[in-house]
Amino acid sequence: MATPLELWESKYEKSKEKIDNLKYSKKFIVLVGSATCENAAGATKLLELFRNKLADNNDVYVGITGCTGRCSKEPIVQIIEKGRLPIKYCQIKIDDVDKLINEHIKNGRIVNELLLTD
Amino acid sequence: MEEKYILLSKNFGYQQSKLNEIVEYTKKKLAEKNLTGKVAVKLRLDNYYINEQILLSILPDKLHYTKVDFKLIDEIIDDYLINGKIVERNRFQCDELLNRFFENFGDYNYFNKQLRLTLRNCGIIDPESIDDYILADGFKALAKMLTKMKPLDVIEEMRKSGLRGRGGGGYPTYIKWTNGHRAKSETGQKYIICNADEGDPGAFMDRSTIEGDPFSIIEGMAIAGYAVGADKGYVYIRAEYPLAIKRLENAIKLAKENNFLGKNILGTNFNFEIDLRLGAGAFVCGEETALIASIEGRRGTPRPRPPYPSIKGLFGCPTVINNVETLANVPVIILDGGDFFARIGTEQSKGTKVFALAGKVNNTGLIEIPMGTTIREIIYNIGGGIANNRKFKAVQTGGPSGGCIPEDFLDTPIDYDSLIHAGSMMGSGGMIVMDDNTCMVDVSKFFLDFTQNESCGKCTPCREGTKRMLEILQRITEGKGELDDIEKLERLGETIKLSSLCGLGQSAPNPILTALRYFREEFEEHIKDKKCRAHICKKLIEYFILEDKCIGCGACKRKCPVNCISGEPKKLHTIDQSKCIKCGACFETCKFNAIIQR
Ligand SMILES: Cc1cc2nc3c(=O)[nH]c(=O)nc-3n(C[C@H](O)[C@H](O)[C@H](O)COP(=O)(O)O)c2cc1C
Ligand code: SF4
Ligand code: SF4
Ligand code: SF4
Repeated sequence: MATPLELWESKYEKSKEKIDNLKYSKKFIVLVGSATCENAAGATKLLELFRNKLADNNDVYVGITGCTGRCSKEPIVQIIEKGRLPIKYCQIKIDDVDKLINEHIKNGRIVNELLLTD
Repeated sequence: MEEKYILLSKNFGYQQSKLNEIVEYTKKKLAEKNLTGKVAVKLRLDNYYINEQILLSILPDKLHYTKVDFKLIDEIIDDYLINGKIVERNRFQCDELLNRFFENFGDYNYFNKQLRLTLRNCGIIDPESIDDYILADGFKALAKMLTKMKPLDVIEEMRKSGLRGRGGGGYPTYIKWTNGHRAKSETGQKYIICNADEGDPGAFMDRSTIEGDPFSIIEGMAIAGYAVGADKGYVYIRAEYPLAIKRLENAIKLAKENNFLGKNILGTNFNFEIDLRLGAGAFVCGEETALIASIEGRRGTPRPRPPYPSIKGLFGCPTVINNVETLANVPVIILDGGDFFARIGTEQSKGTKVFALAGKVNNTGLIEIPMGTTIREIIYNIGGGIANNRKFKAVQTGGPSGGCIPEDFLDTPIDYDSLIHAGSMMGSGGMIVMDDNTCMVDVSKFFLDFTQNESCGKCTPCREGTKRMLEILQRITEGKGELDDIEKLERLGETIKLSSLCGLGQSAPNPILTALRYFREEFEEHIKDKKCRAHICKKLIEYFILEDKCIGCGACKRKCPVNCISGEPKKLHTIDQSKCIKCGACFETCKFNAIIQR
């Protein structure tokens, strides 16, 4: 019989396949902070906007993650281009969403004025 | 942007100047080879490896080297970066969880200075997806344990790790587990409880941990259950945390579906179920015996110990209670080993600690640092210094059970014993930075007001004593303090500490006693000179109109609710101090800065 560790490994393979398809195979991953603090700062609406606006873009995965601990800079939106270090944007407002999509995701240009810098 | 990163760090105690030389050399060499824009050189926090001197990692390639010298830098740049041939000399494997850190968080000063074990997945994984957690090696510790460890092996790993409870007391976790393991239960039933009551004002470490990585708590509880011999766990969480509750419920459901919880976990005969119990938010219900009473459906008041819960707890059965953060560390210890964990931190305090950094610092937020980091490093490096360029005055740790530490103690390393020595305590992880606009009498009153309100009333010293102390503080802030009030506070405080039944009363006087130790002259000023130097205690502020600034516009006079300002138009106005109720309206109104507080 399979040991627990072997069972875990087969689960791992399945999860990996699933998440690879969903997330890591995509050219861009957009992660919106989702926690009590982030939501209070307006993250829920951002997530909805990113999801709607990128719904038919197959190159992008939009999802959530917990809070990174930057209370004073929330909401935080991370954009991760495949194979690169994550880029974090801070204090993102509804009006910034289009800019992030058009500049960073469509043109690969980092939006300097919205960057979390320290 | 650079494509590759060279991360350099030294171990604690190794010479900084040697590391600096290596950094300079690396940068120079990269410049010579025209690699400057392509490869970035970054410094990391001192590492916890004992004898490795300087460590180097190349990311995102995950190549790690120890004992780095000039020659190795030459080889890495010439052979690897230029010619693509991996250098094998001094290379070592380290797959521990924390090495995912940099690539997952990106290149930020704030994160580079931290070490995240408890929060290893927070801000990285999707907290609602079990697949994400599994990909981050989630439940692997559980599987490893069920494959090759007996309950006592688990406890031995916990012993080696040196993990102490993060709920405040700092009690060694393995001793609790050993007692629970050994304890006889008449019915065979034992329990694990995760304490997520988090009642300290301003604390949100546990909420963030659960919201960002709920599965790790579940895994920690299941491991504890196996070690102790319990098949049932409860998470006691306050009802004010709806999102955390929702994510925990979701995580429990998914873990069950995947056979990480429930019956015959991963094909073994180990069973473990978890249920939630919601607390109504009374601070005292975080105390373990009160918490147990509350789960049993009784009023949440503490009872005397012994017997300790690990012998006689929930429904009279042996029960191990651990804090959220304590449990979140457990999978790391089982997966990477107790020895690994014990290399981080100080002699008596191992691992890392999460703090909710708040107050007058530039970067407020949730941080995690290795034990042994100094308070100064936290405030000035990670926190980015005091906000608005004001002057540091004190830092409060330990919440209502702790105290305010003054500037002289900024180099105190964060560990259980040093903080107690400094007159505060680790507590659950609140850290409030205060600047010179803070009145220490007022701060003491704030915390005592909290504990006094939350006192359950079961025992007299805490119920009555804290009330009397609060009355004294109240009159001091109103300028009615008497000369022997300080002595009275000290005497009452010591008595309450010695004679209260539970930790709430035993620690309630701490904020005041520590303030009296370090900021005594401020109390004396309030009492003798009727002055509050921070202009916080309203009744002690005097509003005064400056002769050379007042143009007699009359605006203040019209605003004053008690008509105590007089003066002819275009002439100097004056305040009748005997009638002034110190509302501050005139101060806010004057456009000519003619009114001052003193
Ligand atoms: C008044 C009072 C409140 C407490 N509140 C909490 C709390 O909110 N969370 C917590 O984990 N421990 C709290 N504790 C400590 C618990 O009694 C207990 O020691 C702790 O949960 C044990 O877990 P640990 O060994 O993992 O630290 C409190 C203690 C007292 C006296
Ligand atoms: S010390 Fe205070 S909170 Fe604790 S049992 Fe006594 S009255 Fe209740
Ligand atoms: S508002 Fe200022 S300037 Fe005007 S009368 Fe009052 S103190 Fe004088
Ligand atoms: S502080 Fe209030 S009551 Fe006193 S003089 Fe000014 S406006 Fe009048």
